Amino acid sequence: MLLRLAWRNIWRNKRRTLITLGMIQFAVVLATLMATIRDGIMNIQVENVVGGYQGYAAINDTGYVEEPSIDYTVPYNDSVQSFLKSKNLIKSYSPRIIGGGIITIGEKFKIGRVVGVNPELEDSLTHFSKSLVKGRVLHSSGEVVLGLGLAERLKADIDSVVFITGMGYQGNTANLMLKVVGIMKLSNIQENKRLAFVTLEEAREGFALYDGVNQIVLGLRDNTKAKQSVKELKKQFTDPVQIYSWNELNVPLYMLVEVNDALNIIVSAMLYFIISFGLFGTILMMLAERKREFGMLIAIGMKKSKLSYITYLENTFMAVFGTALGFVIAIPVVYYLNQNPITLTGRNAEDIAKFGFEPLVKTSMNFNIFMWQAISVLGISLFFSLYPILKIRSMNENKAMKG
Amino acid sequence: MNVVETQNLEKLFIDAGTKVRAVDGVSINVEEGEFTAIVGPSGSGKTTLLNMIGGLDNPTKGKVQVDSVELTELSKNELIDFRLKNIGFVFQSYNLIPVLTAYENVEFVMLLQGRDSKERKARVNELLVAVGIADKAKNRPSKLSGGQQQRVAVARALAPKPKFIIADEPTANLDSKSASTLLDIMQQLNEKERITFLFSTHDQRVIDRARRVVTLTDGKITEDKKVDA
Repeated sequence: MLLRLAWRNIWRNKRRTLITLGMIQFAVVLATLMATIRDGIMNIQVENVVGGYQGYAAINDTGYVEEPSIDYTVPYNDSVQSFLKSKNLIKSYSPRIIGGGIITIGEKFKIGRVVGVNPELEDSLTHFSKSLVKGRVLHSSGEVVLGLGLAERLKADIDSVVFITGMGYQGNTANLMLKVVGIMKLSNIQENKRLAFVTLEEAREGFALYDGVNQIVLGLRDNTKAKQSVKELKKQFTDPVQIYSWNELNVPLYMLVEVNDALNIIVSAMLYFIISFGLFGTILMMLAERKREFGMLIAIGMKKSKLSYITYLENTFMAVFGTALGFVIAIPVVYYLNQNPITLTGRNAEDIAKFGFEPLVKTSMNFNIFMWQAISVLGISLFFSLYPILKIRSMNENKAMKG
Repeated sequence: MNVVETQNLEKLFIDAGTKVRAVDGVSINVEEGEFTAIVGPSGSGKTTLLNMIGGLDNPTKGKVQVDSVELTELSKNELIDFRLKNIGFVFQSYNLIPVLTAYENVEFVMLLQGRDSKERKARVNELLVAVGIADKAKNRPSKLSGGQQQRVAVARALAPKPKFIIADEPTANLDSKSASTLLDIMQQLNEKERITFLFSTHDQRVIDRARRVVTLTDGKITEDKKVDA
């Protein structure tokens, strides 16, 4: 009966209830959409930057983090390799020698980055063969695969001859002459414009780095738990300070993610602030309208705790119902935008690309976002439900019945 | 046997800085089965006296005993519980729960008492028949006339089998036909089932039917008259 009473009470003023539900629903839709879009966009950027080339974790010298110079190396011997192969947390890995230089084709040149990789290991990590837009992957020394942006800048094509001049290990001069065998489109726009891949042996010879590598990029079983995985790996590795998670290697991006998360909280908080006012207004009106009735109910023997429970139920019903309606609209929209991301064009797209980001609007289907929206609305409703409870506790039934 | 006993009951209000003695030294006993009307002009203290007898208001001084229980010694929660088990209320403006049907309104108090559904059903049906509203059991208050609503209120007051019923100006908002029907019902319940009724009223129709008429003037009993049947 109490449940029935609470439910019917909600509908005694249909228009007000519908307005309140509409407001909760609108805020839930807006907050969910904004949060999932922000999260989705950020995921794309992290995936492009981190998943596409940088990796979610890496082993490199501590000095390399501050100054990514070819002179900072880490061992890549049997012991390291057996460690990498034995750890279940590590799904794949790729050793890299990374040098800088002027990359030239004919009269065209660009300062770029030459990355020496083991093609098979690199492919198992970044699936870079799938990014090929022309040609093939590396098979042997003397070959180079260029980023599409770099290739366009240099007007390179398959079989073009590339000259690379740069600084090798410990002051050696690096001079490489290579034939373009492939052109790949890297998801990270900045890297796409400057990376040239060669075999690890080619890089070792060319940059005179005969021992060790600059970086061993790690692919983790669960990239979403990169921090925890790295923490665990640090405990087991001989030189724990040399294992880094992506957020330590790419502090600006990590900061951006953190700022984005904070912005999500602020925007959601603002929206929920609006809901709070709406809910509180409804509660105040309900209290004023039903003061006499509350007095009568207490007079005929209804315990204040039971009456409080009914008002609590009413507010909770309203919050749950409003949130559920919000999700009924939000989830299909979020799902649609997740499956059919919007590609920005024009000036906006160019501006976004300048920051190295892909101009895509894609939502994230992160369950946590939906869960937090629900928890927030319920939390707010729970908080404001305390007000009628306090009012009822201090209510004098005799005075209340007089209105 | 006395259902209600008050001793030197007093209620003091402060109104715009002035002390107002709404009830002034009232001592009254109400026996089981009485049909008593407390009468007097507006502001004479009728409602205040009934509120104190019903445990809705605390006296400034004096004692109120209902069924030998001293109400002034009960805590607020104990008072609510006491009212639920012992006192039925009929209010001037009906005060039914608008979202419940007539049946549910009557059932509601029994539900608060924790009575089982079988008992509730039998009692509610019996009472709705007694107050002549069985055919309107599924109607909500908004679909009932004033007289019908007040009959539901009487049934609700009777539902928990209280020691007595307090009816504050029960006919004030009713037309004469509805008032007459209501009074017939209450009188029958009083005569057949010996239910004690205590009214506050200045409605002559109620006064004419009362077996005892207590007149209050300026918070004091100025006349206490028993009427022979």
